[in-house]
Amino acid sequence: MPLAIAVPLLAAVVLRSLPPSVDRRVRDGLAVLSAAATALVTAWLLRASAAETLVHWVAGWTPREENAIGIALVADPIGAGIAALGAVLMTAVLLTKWNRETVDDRSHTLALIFLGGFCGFAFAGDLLTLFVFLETTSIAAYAITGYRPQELASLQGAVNFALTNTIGATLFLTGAAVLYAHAGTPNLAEIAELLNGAGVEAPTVIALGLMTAGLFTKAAVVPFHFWHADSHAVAPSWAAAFFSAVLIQVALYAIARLHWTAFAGPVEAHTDELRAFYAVFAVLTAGVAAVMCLVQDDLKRMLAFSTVAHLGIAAIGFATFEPDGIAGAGTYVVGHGLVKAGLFLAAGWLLVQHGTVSLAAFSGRAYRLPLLGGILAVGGLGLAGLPPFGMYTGKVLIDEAAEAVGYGWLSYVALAAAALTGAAVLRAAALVGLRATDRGGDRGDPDRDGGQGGQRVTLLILVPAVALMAASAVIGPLPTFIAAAEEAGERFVEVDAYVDAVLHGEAVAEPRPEPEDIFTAESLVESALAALAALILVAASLAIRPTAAALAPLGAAVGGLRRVHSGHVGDYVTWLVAGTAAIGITLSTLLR
Amino acid sequence: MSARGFIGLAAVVLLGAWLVEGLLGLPGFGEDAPAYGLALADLALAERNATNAVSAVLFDLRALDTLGEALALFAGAAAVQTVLRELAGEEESEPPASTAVDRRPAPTGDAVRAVALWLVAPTVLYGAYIAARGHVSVGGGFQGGAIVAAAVALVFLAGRQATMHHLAPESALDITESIGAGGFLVVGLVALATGAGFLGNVLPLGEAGRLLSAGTIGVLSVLIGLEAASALATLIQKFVEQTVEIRQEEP
Amino acid sequence: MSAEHLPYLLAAWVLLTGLAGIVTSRDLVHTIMCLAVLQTSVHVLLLAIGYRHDATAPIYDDVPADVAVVDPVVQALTVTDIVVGAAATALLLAFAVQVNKRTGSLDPAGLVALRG
Repeated sequence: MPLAIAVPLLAAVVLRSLPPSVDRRVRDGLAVLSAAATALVTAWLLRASAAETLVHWVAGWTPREENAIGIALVADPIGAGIAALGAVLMTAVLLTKWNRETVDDRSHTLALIFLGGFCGFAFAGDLLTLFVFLETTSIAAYAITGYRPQELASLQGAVNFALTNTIGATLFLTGAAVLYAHAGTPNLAEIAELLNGAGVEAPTVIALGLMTAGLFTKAAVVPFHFWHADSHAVAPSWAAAFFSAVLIQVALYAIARLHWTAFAGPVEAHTDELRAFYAVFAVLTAGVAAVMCLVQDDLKRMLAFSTVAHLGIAAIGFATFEPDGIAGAGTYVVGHGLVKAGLFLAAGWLLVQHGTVSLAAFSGRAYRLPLLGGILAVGGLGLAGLPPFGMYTGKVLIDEAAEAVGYGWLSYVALAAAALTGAAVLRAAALVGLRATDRGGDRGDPDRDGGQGGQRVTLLILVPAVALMAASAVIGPLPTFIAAAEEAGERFVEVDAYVDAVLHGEAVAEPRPEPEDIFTAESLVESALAALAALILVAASLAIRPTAAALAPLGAAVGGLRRVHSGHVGDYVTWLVAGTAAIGITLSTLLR
Repeated sequence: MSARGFIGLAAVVLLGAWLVEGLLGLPGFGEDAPAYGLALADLALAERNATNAVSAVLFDLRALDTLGEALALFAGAAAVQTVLRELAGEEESEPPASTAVDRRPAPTGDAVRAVALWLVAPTVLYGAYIAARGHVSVGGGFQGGAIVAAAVALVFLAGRQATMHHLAPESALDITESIGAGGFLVVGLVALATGAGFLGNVLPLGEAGRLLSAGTIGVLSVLIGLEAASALATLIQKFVEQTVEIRQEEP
Repeated sequence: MSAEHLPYLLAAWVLLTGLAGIVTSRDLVHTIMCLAVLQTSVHVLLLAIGYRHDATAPIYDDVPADVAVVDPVVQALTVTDIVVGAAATALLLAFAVQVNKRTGSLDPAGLVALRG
């Protein structure tokens, strides 16, 4: 595990120290190689952790008398899976930049620091380590977002991102400090052991509230989500590709990990209340983001909102507190990440070749882009939840979990959200691929031809994009994958097993369950309905005036929602504070 | 005050009420400290001969956190270099930048110049001292590095921007910063290779209280000091550059 | 409300002041400085958590090894957070410098390119 952290970081350091005279290809090669090496390491960790939870005590400081001394790095299949996803995507994305980067060459350094920090965060078994690597990853991300300071939009996106997330991280640290004071140790497993059977006390609520608020900010859960679309709209597409796949999802993972370690004991008696609590936020996130996604003109901003919506769906999986829900969330994240990265790369290609990602600029164009339209269409269908993409698998598992806890209606929310985001992307596909005229919506800039990409760039970007999306379709229905995910889910919710593995060195291997049959008639019909709904929405929006304007009350509501997304960082922070207060007071009431 | 201001302040008040109520549930101030921290304090001296327990925590017991932090600073410096770089349409000139009256930095008084320049060498020395003895007494890598970086600022305060750039050119700072952060990583990896675990302590532990003690703690402390000094000096220079030297190209 | 919780309440006060400053701010540099204040509140909280009555600093070079000391971990974490905070603040200030160059002012309301 330390290698997964150290390798990209070392490469990043070396890259910065190379004089500018070093050939671009050497730099690119070093970057790609280190990312690939990290991908190999994390893939190995994924494989090894499937058998038993891996534990590594840094610098050899193993526990004394069952008390944690050093920092524990813990790899369970879900955490290792997210790390591996990030590493693989980083490798793919760095490949698309081969011999192309014209701006300041520090982007490799920053990207690799992001990767190293991200792995550190995914494997952290310690509160304070979580915080430090959260900040490391984030600072690299802020920098990559704002890498075009000559554009005001880039600055705005970066400032909004940096300010809100630093506040979130500070809140997280405050909560972590309180928890450390209360439990007397920062090690997650030891906290779980110490607080096992303890009731809910005031410091626990403070810690849970603040840490949840901080991680919600990082995870772009509504109402902490405003920064996300801003930053993705301006971040370079190659970066947005891996941001969208793993940045917010790893925060959700952290929330889940904390729930089943540090807070497992105190909240045991309040499972139902907490389930409702998280479900509310998940639904809000999926709903608000899906609607916002539909009305976007900028393709990258649209994809960003879609990512938030899909995070909401994964959060629904978490909120069930069922192993299948966790398995579903993990599968969903993997499936989504691959497809979304492919879509962002495609958007990047659009930007390079045609100088804009504004959809209005594409309506009524003299030529068509069928290949790109096809890629977007396939991606849109995947987002809507069509098999064989990974999102279908995830959705089925999540639906089962929701049903099992009596929250069956949640699966319809997820269905609707997925359909809406799929529709948005399909509409984009139609606009660029079919020469459809978008009657209504804002008129963007007249086209300006900025493309100097040419054939080679096309291949360089589109081949990985298609490959990633294909990977989602291939992995999704694999029985091994499904069974592994389910087992990972079972293991994830076992607090005692985690504590045993970390503190007592007793990792237990479990038998693999039979993979779920995900291709039941019912699920297939449902997903077909979702895709159909998406297609109908698209046709409707292209043929008639957009619904937003036609149905006045709905239009007013949507317009109001759009106005709330003001772009002003003060507004965002106000929502953040209000959200934190709401979380805190709600938790205090629920957990009494 | 705008509507947002009112709502924001109301939210802050609500948050405050909740927070205060919860914090009152913590053990009283000074009554006790977390057991984990106290255990580490004992271990620092007993097992590593490090008389500065904080440094032992930073560079041995919890060195991974320090690694994350060092790379965060590294990223920050690289990021500022990217954001404050010379853009198309701007030009960088030797200071003083422009002939416009309001852009020319005021000439530095002789007294300021003299004192600032005399302080440079002692400051660098003191910073190095603090960083090198971080494992023995009060101090540490970051602290020492920050003091050394202050020496760079002193040169600027003395009005000698050109000298500042010559003494600590950005390309050299990039290299020293990389040596600092990279050195930290390399030491950690060497430890991994020798079986002591990543970032394990593999040098002789010497005698507590002496300069050569506590193994890699002192070494890592100095490396971090180098990194911090370079990063902070880079930051200072970039901001100074923006204000004083970079301007729009003459049309 | 007893005196024995005062340092924690102080930390909360600083936190809230910082947040209040950010939500009412009309100037980016002011906002960033409020953020720095916010980060300081965590340092106060951390150090308060680690403190013990009648204990001294965890530096043993001039006190015997068995003397009571305060928690070194929170002190280490404070150093860490100061550095990390400095990096984030520097980056934000760099953005602010560029905003000023583009729009001639530091008012966040001038950042209007992204919305809706």
